Amino acid sequence: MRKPESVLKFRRVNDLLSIAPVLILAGFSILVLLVIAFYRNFILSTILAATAFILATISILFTGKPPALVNHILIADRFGMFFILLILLSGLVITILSHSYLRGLEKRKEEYHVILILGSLGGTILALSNHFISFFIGLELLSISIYILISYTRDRQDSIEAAIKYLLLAGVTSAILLMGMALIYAATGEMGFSGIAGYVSEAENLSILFSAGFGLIITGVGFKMALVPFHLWTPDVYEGAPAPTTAFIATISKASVVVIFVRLYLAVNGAEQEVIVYILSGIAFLSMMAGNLLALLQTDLKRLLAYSSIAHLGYILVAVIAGKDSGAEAVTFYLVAYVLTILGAFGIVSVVSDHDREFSAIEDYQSLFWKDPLLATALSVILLSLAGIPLTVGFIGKYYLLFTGIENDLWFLVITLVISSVIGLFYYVRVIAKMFDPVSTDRITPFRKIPVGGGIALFVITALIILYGTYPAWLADFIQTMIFSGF
Amino acid sequence: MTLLTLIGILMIGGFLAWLSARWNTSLTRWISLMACGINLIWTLFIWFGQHSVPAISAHGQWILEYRQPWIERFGIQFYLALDGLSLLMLMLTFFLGFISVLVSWHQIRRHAGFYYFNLLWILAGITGVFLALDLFLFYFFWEIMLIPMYFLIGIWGYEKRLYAAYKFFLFTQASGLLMFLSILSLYFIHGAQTGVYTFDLTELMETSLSSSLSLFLMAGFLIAFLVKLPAVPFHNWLPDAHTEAPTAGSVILAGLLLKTGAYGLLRFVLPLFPEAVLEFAPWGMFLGAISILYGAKLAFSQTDLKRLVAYTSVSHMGFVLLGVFALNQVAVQGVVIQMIAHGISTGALFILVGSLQERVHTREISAFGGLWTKVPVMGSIALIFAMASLGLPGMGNFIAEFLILAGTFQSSVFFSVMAAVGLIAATLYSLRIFQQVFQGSPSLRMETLSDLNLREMFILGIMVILIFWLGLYPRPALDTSQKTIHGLLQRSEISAIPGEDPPDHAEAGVGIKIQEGE
Repeated sequence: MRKPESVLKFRRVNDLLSIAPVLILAGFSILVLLVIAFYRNFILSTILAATAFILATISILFTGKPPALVNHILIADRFGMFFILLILLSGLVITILSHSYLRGLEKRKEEYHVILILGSLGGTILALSNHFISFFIGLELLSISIYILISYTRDRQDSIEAAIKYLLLAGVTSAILLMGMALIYAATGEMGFSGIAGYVSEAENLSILFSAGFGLIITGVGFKMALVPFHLWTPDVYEGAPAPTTAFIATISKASVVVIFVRLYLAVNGAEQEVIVYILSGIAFLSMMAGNLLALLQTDLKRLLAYSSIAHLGYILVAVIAGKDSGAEAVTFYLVAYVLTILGAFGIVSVVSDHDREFSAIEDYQSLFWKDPLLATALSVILLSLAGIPLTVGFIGKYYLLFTGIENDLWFLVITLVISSVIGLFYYVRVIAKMFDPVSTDRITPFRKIPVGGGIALFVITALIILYGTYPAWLADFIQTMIFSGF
Repeated sequence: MTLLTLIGILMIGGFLAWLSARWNTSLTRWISLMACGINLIWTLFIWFGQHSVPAISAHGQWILEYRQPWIERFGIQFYLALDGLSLLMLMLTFFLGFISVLVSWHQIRRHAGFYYFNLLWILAGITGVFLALDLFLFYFFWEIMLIPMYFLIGIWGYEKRLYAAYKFFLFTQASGLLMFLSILSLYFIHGAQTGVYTFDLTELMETSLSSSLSLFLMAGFLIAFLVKLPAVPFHNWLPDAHTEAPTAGSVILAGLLLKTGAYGLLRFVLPLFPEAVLEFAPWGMFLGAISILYGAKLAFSQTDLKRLVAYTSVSHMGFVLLGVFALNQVAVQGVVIQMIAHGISTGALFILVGSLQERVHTREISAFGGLWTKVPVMGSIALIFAMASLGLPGMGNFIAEFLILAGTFQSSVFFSVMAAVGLIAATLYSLRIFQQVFQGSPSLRMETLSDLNLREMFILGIMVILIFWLGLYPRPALDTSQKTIHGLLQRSEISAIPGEDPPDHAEAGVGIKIQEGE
C-alpha cells in the first residue's frame, strides 16, 4: 500500500481502467435512472442493477496488478480491489433479495436499485480511498444512500423512525469526522494518507492536535462500524429498516468503513502509537462485551443481530489494532466470513418477509426445522458461523483473529474475545434451540413461499460458509498471495 | 487413507440416514447400523492384523498414518495416526456406536433421520479426536462432537433437556476455547524457537518451555480435559446432561465423550508438558481421589436412578485421573482398561435404566422395588453390572481399578489409600441400585412389566461377555496399549519413577476366548 511514489506509474487511460468498477457503478446508476424515467419496470431495474454489479465484478479482472494512484485521491491496489469484489457481490445478493422483498410495494419501487448502486459506489470509493477528500465523498455518498434505503418502506412507522435516527446521528458524526480531518490537516498540512504517513514517520511525538484529530476520526468511523459507545443507533435502525437495507448496512457500509480505517491506521502506524492503541483497545473491549451481553436480552432476530454485529466489529478491531500485514490479512478474512454470514442471516429474514410484514421475532422461527428443514438448516449454519463453531467459516475467521492477537501479544483483548464469544454462544444457540424445538405449536408461521432467486443466493451462501469452513485454504491463499504479495 | 475413510463412512452415513428418513425410517436405522458395523469390523481386522506384527508403536511409528496438508498458510495438516491406544479407543467407539443405534431402534420415533445423523456425527467427531495428531485438527474434531450432542440432548432428551443441553454446551465450549488459546500459544512459541510454524504434535513436543509458561499452557489443556472427564470442581454439567439425554445419548456421553478427556490427558498433556505434569501430579492425584469419594457420595444420595448412575461416572473417572497422574506404566495401563470397562459397564447400566424408564415411565428409585420376580433376566444382568461397577474380581473394572491402585501405590501411598476407600463407597451405591430396584417388596403399578426383549438381551448379552472377558483375560487389551503407554511415559521422561516393570497380567490363566463382539 505505501509504495514509494516512483513505483507508481501514471497512465491516463489506465488510470480510468484501474478504477473501472467504480466508473461502471456510477454509469449504471445514471443509466438505471434514465431507464426508469422512460419505462418503469421493477424486473427491468432489478436486472439492470444486477448487470451493473456483475459487469463491475468482471471489470476487476482488467484493473491491472500494480497499485495505481489516481489523482492522489484513489489508490487502486489489490487490497482495495478485493474489498470492491466483496462489496459488489454483496450488492448483487442484496439486489436479488430486494426484488422479492419490494415486489408488492405499490409505487416507486424501482428507485431502490438506483440508490443501492449509489450506496455501493460510495462503498467502493471508500475501499480505494487514499485521501481525506475521497474518504469524505465516499462516506457521504454511502450515508445519504442509507437514509433513503432505510426509509424506503415509507408506510411503515418504524422505518421512518429509524431513518430519522440515522439521519440525525450520521449527520452529527459526519461533522465530527470533518473536524477531525481539519485538525489533522492543521497538524500535518496533509490531506493524503501517504503525506500523513510521511509526517508521522518523521515526527518524534504526535502533537496533541493530531491525536485529537485522530480521536475525532475514530468517532466518525466508530459510528459507522457501530462500535460502543457510538452504537446506540444500531438496534433501532437494524430493526426498523427493511431487511435488504439492513443487510446493506451490515455488510457493504461496515466493510468499506473498516477498509478505510485499516488504511488510515496503517498510514499513521497506529500500532506504535500508545494513545491510539489504548483508545481502540478500550473500544474493542466495550464493544465485544456490551454487544454480546446486550444481545442476550433480545427477542427480535434483527435486534439480536444488531448487537451481535457490535460484538463482531469489536472482534475485528482486535486485528485492526494489531496492525501490520498479518492484522490486515486477518481483518480481510474475517470480513469475508462476516459479510458472507450476515448476508445469509438478513437474506433469510428478507426471503420470508415482504415490505408489509417482517418476520423477525425469534418466536416466528419456533419449530422452523420441522416445517422447513432447509431454511432452518441454513439459518443454523449461519448462526453457528457467527458463533465461530468449526466447520463454518466463522470459526476460521475467529482463528485468524486469535492468531493475530496472540502473535502481537494483545492478551487482554484475546482473552476478552474468548470470554465474550462464550457469552455469545448463549444467544446464538438459543435461537437454534428455538428452531429445533420439537413441540410443534399450533401457531403455524405463515412464511410465504421462498422466491427462487433468494433461495439460490441463500443456498450458495450457506454452501460457501461450510466450504470455506472445512477447506479454507483456497480463500486463505487467495487473500495472502493476491493481496498481500504487493504490500 | 483408511483412517480418513473411517471418519468419512460415519459422516456420509449420517447424511444418508438423514435423507433416507424421508422415505423409510427403518432404512435409516439400517444405514446407521451398517456404518457403525463396517467401522467396527474394519478396526477389528486392523487389530487382529496387528497381532502378527509385534510392533504396536510408540510415537514415531504408527500402525496407520494419514497426512495431508490442509491449511498450508498456517502449517495446519490433516494428520491422523493410529497406535495401540487409539485403536482400543476406536474399537470402543464403534462398539458403543453400534450398541447405541440398537438401543435407539424403537425408542426414537420422532424425527429419526435427524437423530441418526447427529448420532453418527458425534461418533465421527470422537473418531477424529482419537486419531488427530495435529493440534488444530484435534480441536476441530473436539468441537465437532459438541453440536450434534447438543441437539441429541436438546431435542430427544427428557423434561429439562434444554437446560441440560445448554449447560453441557457452554461448559465444554468455554473450556475448549481455553485449550485453543494454549494450542495457539504453543504454536507461536514453537514457531519462534524453530522457525517452523506447525500444529504437528510430534514436533511441538520438542518445544522447550520455561516452567511457569509450561504450567500456564498446561492449565489450558487441563481445564478442557478435566471438564470433559469430569473431575470434581468441573463436574457440574455431567449429571444434568446424562440424566436428560436419551439412552443412547447417555451411553455415548459416559462411554465415549468422557473418554476423550482421559485420552487428551494421555495423548497431549503428558508428552507436551513433561515437567509441568510432574509438578502438577500430586494435585492431579488429589483431584482424582476427591472425585472418587465425592462422586461416590453424591451417587449414593441420589433419588433419581439415572442421576445416580451419572454420578458413578464422576467416581470412576476419578480413578482415571488418579491413574494418569500416578505417572507409571501400571497405573496408566489400568487407566486404559478403566476407560474400556467403564464404557461398557456404565453404558449397560444406562441401557438398563433406559429400558426401565420405557416400561415404568419413572426414574425415581423409590417408585421401584421387588422387580426381581417380575423381570428376572433384567435383574440378573443388572446384578452383573452393579457388581462390575463396584469392582468385583472377574470383571473388567476390577482389573482396571486394581492396576490403578497398584500403580498409584508406587507414587503415593496416601492417595492410593484414599482411593481404595472409594471402592467401599462404590459398593454402597452399587448395592443400593440393586436392592432398591430389584429387591424388597413389589411396589405400585409393576404388574404388567415385560422382561427384556430379544434385541435388548442381545445388546446386554454382548456387553456382559465383554466385561467378563476384560476381567478374566485382559491381556490382549493390555498388550495393545502397552507400547503406546510406554512411549508416552518414556518420551516425556517421567517414567523415572521406580517400578515400571511390565504390567502383571492378572488372572491371565482363565482365558475365555470370544471372537465375536469385541
